[in-house]
Amino acid sequence: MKSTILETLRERASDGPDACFLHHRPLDHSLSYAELLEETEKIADCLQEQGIGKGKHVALVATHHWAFFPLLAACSARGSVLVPVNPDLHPDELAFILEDAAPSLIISEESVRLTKRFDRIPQLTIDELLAHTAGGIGGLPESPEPPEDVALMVYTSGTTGSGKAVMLSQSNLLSMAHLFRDFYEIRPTDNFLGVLPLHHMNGIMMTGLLPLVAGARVTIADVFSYLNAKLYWRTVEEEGTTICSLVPSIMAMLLKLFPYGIENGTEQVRFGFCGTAPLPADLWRTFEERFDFPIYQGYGLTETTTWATCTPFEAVHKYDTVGVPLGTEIKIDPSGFPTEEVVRGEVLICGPIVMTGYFKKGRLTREQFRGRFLKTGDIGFIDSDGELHITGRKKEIIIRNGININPQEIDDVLGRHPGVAESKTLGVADEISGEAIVSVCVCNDAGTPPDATNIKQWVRDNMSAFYVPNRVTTMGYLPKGPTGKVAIKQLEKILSGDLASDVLKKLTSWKHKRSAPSDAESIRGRIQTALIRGEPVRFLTYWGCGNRESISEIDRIAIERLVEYMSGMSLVQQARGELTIMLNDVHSRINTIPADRFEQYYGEIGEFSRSLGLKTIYQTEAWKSAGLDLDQILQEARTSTFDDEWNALPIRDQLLSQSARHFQGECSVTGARQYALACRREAPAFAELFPDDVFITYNGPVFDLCLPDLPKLYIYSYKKGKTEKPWFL
Amino acid sequence: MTETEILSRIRDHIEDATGVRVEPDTSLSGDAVLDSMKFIELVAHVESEYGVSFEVEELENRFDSVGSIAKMIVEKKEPS
Repeated sequence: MKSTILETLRERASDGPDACFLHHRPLDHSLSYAELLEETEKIADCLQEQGIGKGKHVALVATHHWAFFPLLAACSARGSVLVPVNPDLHPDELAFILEDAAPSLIISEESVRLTKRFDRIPQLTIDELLAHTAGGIGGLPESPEPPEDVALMVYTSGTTGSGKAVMLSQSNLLSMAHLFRDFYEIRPTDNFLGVLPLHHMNGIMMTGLLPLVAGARVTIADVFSYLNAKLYWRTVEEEGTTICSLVPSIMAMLLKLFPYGIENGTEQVRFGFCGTAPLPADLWRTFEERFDFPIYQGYGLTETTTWATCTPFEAVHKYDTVGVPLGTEIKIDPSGFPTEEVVRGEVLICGPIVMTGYFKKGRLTREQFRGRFLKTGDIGFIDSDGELHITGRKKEIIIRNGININPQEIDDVLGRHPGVAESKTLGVADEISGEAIVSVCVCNDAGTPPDATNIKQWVRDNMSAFYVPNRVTTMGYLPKGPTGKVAIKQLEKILSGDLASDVLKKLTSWKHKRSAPSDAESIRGRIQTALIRGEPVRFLTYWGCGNRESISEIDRIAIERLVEYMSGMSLVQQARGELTIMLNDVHSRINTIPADRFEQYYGEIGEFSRSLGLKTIYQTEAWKSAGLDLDQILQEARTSTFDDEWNALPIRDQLLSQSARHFQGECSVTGARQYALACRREAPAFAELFPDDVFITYNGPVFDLCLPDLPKLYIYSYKKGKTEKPWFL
Repeated sequence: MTETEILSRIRDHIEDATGVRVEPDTSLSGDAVLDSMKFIELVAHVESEYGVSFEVEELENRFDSVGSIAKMIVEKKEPS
């Protein structure tokens, strides 16, 4: 690309001086190509007066002002570098960028307040810059600086220490714009609508340099927000927009707000561009159907100026690719990836749009390249049609709504929270924003542990708003690998619930399962809670005495099997089970078993269980904690007040026949009623007493009414297909 | 439908969507209760459910609490 921005602008101003380049809607200010050139001249004079020449940096701290364009043209013509900066950054981040970029002039919106430390640098407001009247001092040279010179520097991930600035030359910028223009046949009659900020490459290119090289028009509207979303189609209609510049989150909001589409106003729209984040197929298709124009998606990084690949123009397009190379050469580096039919690996890009390098970071720049190819850190493959598919990312960087977020920076801030011991921040796939930020925090013992709202507020107070996590989860620990590094895959599996599902699978394996669990979702939830807290999953089971006097071989086998059942789930990393056997002495008492007999038996069962690492609790203790009164229940079961409940019990007959075998008192019907009432009162009381537990029973679901109101696993006691059940329930 | 009924139904709707039970005067701005997408969903829900439409200025200035939303719906429903 031999041309420069100034030469392009001069050409446009001479071809069609009165053609409108830009309409700034919020200021209701229009600029023809001739006027754009005039503004550029004025600004160049102003720069000259300020001593801004070759190699000097000019920072522009503004969201979305049209002055960006003449300023860029003037800077590049004089060989100086424009550094657009987001004014909404946290003051610390803003300060870092301004220190790092070392501008010789700072131009900012009226509302921007910089700290005193920048007083040493000359500063102008945008209004002051534009008020500068042309002095005819030749600020704009006849022959502008060469196109290979750096013209723009964009910070990609900007907090203290780690931010890096991508240096783009005029040649990068114009190559990109020309590639776009030619590929999508952009005409002078086209009219762009820009609602993205002009400190981001997407906004700068799509709704700036692209219309400029095409001699087209652009409307700069207020930056899109959920509050002004309703105005979008009205703006399209009033401005006569032919090309919309969108991102997935904007598309999703428009779909929500306009569930029935729109009646008119979009007939003239030729298509829309969508970038900055992966576009989900459903969203893409639905949007095209509802608003009736095609959307072209692109893929690229700030390091590739904007897009390195894009959806083919005017063809039936696929919804699962990021398209074909746009004037670039793309290679897949399969090293480190398994050999498959399709070659998967890191995406490497080479072409005229690839950056000059990172500012002041020579080593990082060298590491980022393999020969002429830029290493993207993205994983993908190229299909038989030559279209690129992106399947993942090598680096840990989170990209939310097109903004690169280094999770380590959030963790550094979280680490300073007085209540947080350690944290790990990661990105999880999100349909709307590409990725959502999830911070997992482990609280320390200092005072009341902070909640999610408090932790989010902490991030908000210390960083720019876009770092605030979508979700904060507090866990009891962080799973770690052998080297002490957080095991991210493991953590992701815990958060997604996949690990809980794996544990549940182990618990319902064919070897043990008698019937499907009573409430798999609830059990999964309890497992999930335990995994998050870093605690064992708690299980409870009943152990009755029946007619036994001392522990038998079958008892031992059954208990050993329970231990094996518990250890089976430990095969899933991080998962542990803790089983408590309740020794049902209250039930034995109801069955009028002599106390010395059941005491002897439970003593032996308890001792054996504990020797294998299980916990035990006497039912009497649980009754006491739950505030249940045996005498009162025995009495109530004899009265008619219990008749209705008793008659409604579907398992009355089973209880009567069990009672006939085990009940040692006078009347087995009374015994059955007393047993039933005791169980019905225990059911809710024990559910409250063991709120996180999962109940294990050797019975089928039919006996649930006699068991605590907890989710249940039904298993065999003795071996697969067999339940030796000498004890009464 | 009375303002109180509308109020209670919108509170239910927000609780279903976010798990948070808001008070009639809890501020919905910022992202403490609703993120931007949830906010848009609430606007779309209220508009279709009650057959009303809000101007951008109303969204900016008054769509800030369940109480104020319910009041606006009633005002829009009343024949002027």
